[in-house]
Amino acid sequence: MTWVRVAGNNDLSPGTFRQVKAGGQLICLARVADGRLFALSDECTHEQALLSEGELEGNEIECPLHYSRFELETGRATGLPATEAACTFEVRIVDGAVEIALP
Amino acid sequence: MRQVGESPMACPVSGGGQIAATVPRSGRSHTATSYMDAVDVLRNPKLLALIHDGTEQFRGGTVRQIDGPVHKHRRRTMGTLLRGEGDDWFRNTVLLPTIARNLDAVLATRSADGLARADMVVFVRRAFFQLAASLIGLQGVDDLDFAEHLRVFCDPINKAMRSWYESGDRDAIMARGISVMEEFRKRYFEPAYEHHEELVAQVNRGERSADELPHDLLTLVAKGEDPELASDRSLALREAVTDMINAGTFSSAFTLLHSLAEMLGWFNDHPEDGHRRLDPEFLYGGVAEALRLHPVVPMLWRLAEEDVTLTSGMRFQRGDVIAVDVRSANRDGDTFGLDANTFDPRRPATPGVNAYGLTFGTGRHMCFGLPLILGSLGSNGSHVQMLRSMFEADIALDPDDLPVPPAGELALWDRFPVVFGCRGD
Repeated sequence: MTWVRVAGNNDLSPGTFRQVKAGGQLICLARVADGRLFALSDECTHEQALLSEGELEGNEIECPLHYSRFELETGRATGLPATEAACTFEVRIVDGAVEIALP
Repeated sequence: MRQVGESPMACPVSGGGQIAATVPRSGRSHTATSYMDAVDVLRNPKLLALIHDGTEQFRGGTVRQIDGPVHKHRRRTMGTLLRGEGDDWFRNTVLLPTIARNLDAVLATRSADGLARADMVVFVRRAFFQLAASLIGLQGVDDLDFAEHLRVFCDPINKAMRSWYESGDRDAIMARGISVMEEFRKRYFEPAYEHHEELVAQVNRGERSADELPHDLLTLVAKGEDPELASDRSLALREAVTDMINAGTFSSAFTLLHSLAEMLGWFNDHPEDGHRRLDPEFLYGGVAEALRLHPVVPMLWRLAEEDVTLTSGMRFQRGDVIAVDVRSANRDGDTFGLDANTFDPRRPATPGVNAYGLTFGTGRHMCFGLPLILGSLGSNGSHVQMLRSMFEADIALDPDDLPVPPAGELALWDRFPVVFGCRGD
């Protein structure tokens, strides 16, 4: 496992999210209202669309194309048409930076 | 906008049946029949939705016929009606009360034998007209008599919009549909539009909270959330007629009746599954199968903007027209199994494949009404909720008045008589 710095800890305020790149992968990094950070693959498992162009709804992110939903913490698909989970990544804060664990 | 010539194209739809459709074409024509080819075509950004389908008077400029940033914005705007907060609001405020209201009205007519009789064609179409009217923002949607009136009133519109799939002279059918749409605009759409404009004005003047605004199309329009809809009232009318009055009622009723017919047949043939009549997950399996086997839109069309080669090697040149044969794709044995032509609510899911096939399409033009029919889980949409309520009320075919099968794959039953309370209280 490799930890990769992708953003500063202050770059994302609660309720916001953005696309980051780590090891050539596109990742959607989101900070929910209570301040927790989550990272998951930035592609809807139903069809090619960037989750980072969707909307944050509580602890879930919604695909902009067909409104599939994914639980940020587990990647579980919680809303059709997606039925397969999105890949999630461990996140940690080190020296004011957000790091993502790549397998 | 691309201008292309027109020529008739005959498209095989069902066993031996043909539909005549007039589509624009400047190049060769192709038909994608396998599930994987169909998915590739519908998801390819270089294959554009055809702008002309012979019913532009109803569909012209609507979300299903545009592409690019304007399409993306409108799709997202209108999608809020049925997702997120709109999803919860619709389910709890509109869908479930509508089902209960319509079912209660039928059950109140029990005769001396303890049975209540109903024609499910009328029942489901009336119920979906209430849902559609609510999504548009028409007034009086709680009134069953109004819903029945609206259903009958709008029938020529639905006939005209479906006429594209039929052979023969469409002129008279189209003229009647257009005339009724104009009457619909004067009687129902304009008064509701003005009512919504006033509601939004009250919010802007601080006389009303924005939270009090209804979740409907006319509120989105009055708030100016889509600039084109806000500036073109006739476009807003076409959007309401295309997405709500036609797709939201005919298509929804068509697929729900097929779901009901298939499930009644299944429980009759498989009494061992009788205990699952109220199981939402099992009912969803049935709904998905009925949607797959009976797609209400049997063909979708795309126009190649550039040369395209699919994963399978199928090649298109710029200007070619590609027909996606949804019915064949949904019965593709390579994707759904060797028994793909049969109804099986226990069919195991195939990873990466929609259990309901391509009945809602896929890609950027995938039907945005999917959340109405399936909800967010499949089991919490209109179809499973209605089926569950019907089975809870002990629905069964009326043995003395069996439904006559529809005249064709695309037709609705003329009547679908049922009885409620067949098991007794």
